[in-house]
Amino acid sequence: MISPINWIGNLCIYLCLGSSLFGIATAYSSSRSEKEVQLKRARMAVYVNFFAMTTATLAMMFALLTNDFSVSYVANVGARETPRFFAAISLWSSLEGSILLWGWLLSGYATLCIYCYRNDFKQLMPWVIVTLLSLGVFFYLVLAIPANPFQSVYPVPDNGPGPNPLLQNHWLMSLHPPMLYLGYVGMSVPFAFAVASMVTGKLQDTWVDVTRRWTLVAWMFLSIAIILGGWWSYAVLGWGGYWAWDPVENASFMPWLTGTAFLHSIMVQQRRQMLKIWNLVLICTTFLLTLLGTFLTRSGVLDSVHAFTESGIGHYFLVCIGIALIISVGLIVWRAPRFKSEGRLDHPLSRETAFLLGNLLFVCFCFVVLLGTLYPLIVEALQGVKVSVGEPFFNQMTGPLALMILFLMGVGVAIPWKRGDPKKLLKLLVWPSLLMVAVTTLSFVLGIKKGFVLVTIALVTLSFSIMIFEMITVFITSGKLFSAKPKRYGGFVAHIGILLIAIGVVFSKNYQLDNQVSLKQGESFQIGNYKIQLEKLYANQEPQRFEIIARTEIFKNEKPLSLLNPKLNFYANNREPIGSPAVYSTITSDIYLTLMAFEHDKFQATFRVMVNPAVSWIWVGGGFIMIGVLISLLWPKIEEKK
Amino acid sequence: MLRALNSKWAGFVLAILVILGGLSVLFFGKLESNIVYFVTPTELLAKGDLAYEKPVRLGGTVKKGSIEWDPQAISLKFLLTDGSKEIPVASHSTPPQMFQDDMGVVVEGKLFRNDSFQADRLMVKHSNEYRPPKEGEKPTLLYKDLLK
Repeated sequence: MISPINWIGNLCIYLCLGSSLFGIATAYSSSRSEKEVQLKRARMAVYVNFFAMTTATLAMMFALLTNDFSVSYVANVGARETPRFFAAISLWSSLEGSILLWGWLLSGYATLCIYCYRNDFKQLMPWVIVTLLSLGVFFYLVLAIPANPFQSVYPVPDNGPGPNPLLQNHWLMSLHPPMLYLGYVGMSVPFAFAVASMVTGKLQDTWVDVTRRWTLVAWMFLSIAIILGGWWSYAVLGWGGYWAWDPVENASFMPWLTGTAFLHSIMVQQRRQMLKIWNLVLICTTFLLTLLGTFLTRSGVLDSVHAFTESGIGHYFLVCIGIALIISVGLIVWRAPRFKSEGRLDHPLSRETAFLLGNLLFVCFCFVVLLGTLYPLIVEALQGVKVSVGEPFFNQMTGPLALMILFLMGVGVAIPWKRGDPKKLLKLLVWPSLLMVAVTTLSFVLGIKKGFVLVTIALVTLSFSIMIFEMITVFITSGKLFSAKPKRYGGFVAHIGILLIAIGVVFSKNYQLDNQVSLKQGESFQIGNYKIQLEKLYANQEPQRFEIIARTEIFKNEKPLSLLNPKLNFYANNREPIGSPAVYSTITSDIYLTLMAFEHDKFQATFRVMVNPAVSWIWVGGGFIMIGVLISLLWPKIEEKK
Repeated sequence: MLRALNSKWAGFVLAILVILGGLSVLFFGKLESNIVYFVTPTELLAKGDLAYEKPVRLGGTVKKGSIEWDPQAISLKFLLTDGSKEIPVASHSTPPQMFQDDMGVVVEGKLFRNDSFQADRLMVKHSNEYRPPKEGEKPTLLYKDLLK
C-alpha cells in the first residue's frame, strides 16, 4: 500500500511545479500589460508554492518521526533506534532531504520578499517573481525526478540504516545545515532584484537599500553557518582543527568573500553613485558561487571528506549554473552602457579608494580559493592524473591577503568620504599607532616571536583601537552609541568579530601543542602545565550505539581541573567507530582530548592530546558578527517606532 | 566602444591586469610546490630516482599479516600493496580503531632512500560497497569485557 505521505509529498511537488509555471507566465504578461490582476495572480502562485512546500516538509518530518519506512527517504536515513531529535534533523542528513529543505526555504524567502514589497517596485516585481519562480522550477524538478524523497518502497522494510553517523554525533548538526541553506538560498533574492533591474533598466536608490538589506541577512546566515561548520568539525572530527581548506568548506567560503565585497561596495554606490555595474557583477557572482557550492557538495566530483553523496544530480546543477551564468553575463553586457557611474573618484586618499582596494583584495582572495579548489578537477580532466592542492598553498596565498584586509579595515574607517586630509589622518592615527607599538612590543616580550603572529597582533590592535576611539568620541559628543549611526557602528561590531576570529586563527594555528600518548588505567601524561590521567576505560550500550569511554582527569599545576570523557561511538551499521573528542575550553586555550584507539584486553587507551590556544575567540567572534549585523539591520526600525 | 574607455578606465583596467598578472605568477609558483600527486606503489616505484623525498599520496591495500603496531611507542608498520608491488610504510600516528588487513588505505608522506615510506597521515578509504558488521564483528561482542 502506498503511504499517504508519498502521495501528499508528490502532489505538493507537482503543485509547486505547476503553480510556478503559471506564476512565471502571469508575471511575464503583467510586465508587458502592467495589469494589476496578473501580478496578483503571480503573487498567489508564490504563496501556493510556500503552502505546498511547507506541507511537503511537514509531511516528511512526520514520516521521519513516525518511522514510515514506505517513504524512500525514511527508508534511507531513518532507524527505529535513532533518538527522536536526530530523527527530526535527519531531514537534512542526506541529498533528497536537503534539496527539500532548500526548496522550502526558497519558497519561504520568495513569499517573504513578495509580501514585503506587494505595494512597491511596480516595474521590478514581475521580474523578481519570474527569477525566483524559475529557480523554484529548477529545484522542484530536481525534487520530482533525480532526488525525489517521496518514492514508495515496496516491500516496506522493518527498519532503516539510520542517518550518517557523523551527522548524528553532535547537536551542532541541527544548526549548521539550516544556517548554511538560509545563507545560500537568501542570496537568490538579491540576485532576483539584480536580474529585474537589468531587464527593466531601472536602478533606483531604494533598490540599492533593499538589495543591501537582503544580502546582509543572507550574509549573516552564511557567516554563522561557516563558524558553526568549523565548530562542528572541531567538536566532532577529532583532528583538533576547524578549517582544512576542504573543497566543501571552500564552497561556502567563496560566496561569503564576494558577498562581503558587495556589502562594502554597495555603500560606495549609495554614497557616491559609483560602481553600479561592479555591484551587479558581485551579486551575480555571489549567487553563482552558491550554486557552484551546492554542486561541489552534492555531486561528489571532488574527492572530499564531506562528499556524502554521489548521484546524477550534478548534471542538473551544471545545466542550471550554465543557464544562470549566460543570463547574468548577457544582461550585464547588455545593460552596462546604461548603468554608467555618475560619481567618480575625487582623490586617491578617500573612503572610496579604501573600499575599492578592499573589494579587489576580497575578489583576489576568492579567485585564489576558487582556483585552488578546482585545480585538481582541471588537472584530472586534462592529464588524467589525480592531484590534490595542499593546505600550505592556501595558507601562503591567503595569509598576506588577509593581513592587507585587516590593515584596510582599520585605516579605511579613519579616512573620510570624497577627499582625505593627510594631516588630519596622521593626527587621528597617533594614539592607535602608539597603542599598536605598545601591544606588539608587550606580546614580543611575553614570548611571541613569530613574525606573522606579531604583524597580525599589530594590525588587529590598530584596527580595533581606531574603531574604539571613534565610537568613544561619538558617545562623548552625542551621548548616543548605536542610534547615532546604526549602520556604521553595527559594522564596527561585526568588524570586531572579524578581529577576534583573526586572533583565534593565528594563535591556534601557530601555537598548537600536539601529542599522541598511550596510557594504561591510572597512568598520566604531562603536556605544558597540564597533566592528563586515565581513570577508567569502559563501555556503555545505548539504543542507537555502543560507546567506549575513556574517563580522564585533567590537572593544572597538580590541581584537579576537570573530568573529560572522550569517546568512540560504534553505530550498528558502520564498521568504523566515530570519535567524540572531549574539550575543556577556557579563554586562553582549550585542552582537546581524542580517544584514538584502545586495547580492551590490556585496559590501555591511545589519545591524541592537544592544547589549542584561543580557539574559543573564533566562536565568540562569530557571535559579534551576528550582533553587528542585527544592530545595523534592526536599530533604525526600533528608532522609527519610538 | 574604445573611445568610450576614457583614460581613467584604461588606467583602472591596466592596474587590474598588473595585479592579476602578479597574482598568477605567485599563484602558479606556489601551486607547483604544493601539488600532491596520488599514486599506487607500482607507479611510485616506476619513477625511479624521482620517487624519493617528494610528498605524495600513496594508495593501496594493507598486506595480510604485515601490521606491526606498538601502542607504547606509537609506532605502526605495515606493507602497502597494489597487487603487484609493495612498499613498507612506517608511521608515528595511531591507526584508526578498525585498521586491519586487506583494508584500502591512503597514506600521505615521502618515500626515503632506504625504500621505506614515512607516512605523516593515514587515511582509511571507505569502501563504496557498503557492508554492515557481521555478528562476530559487532563491538558489543568484541569489547564485552569493557561493559560495566
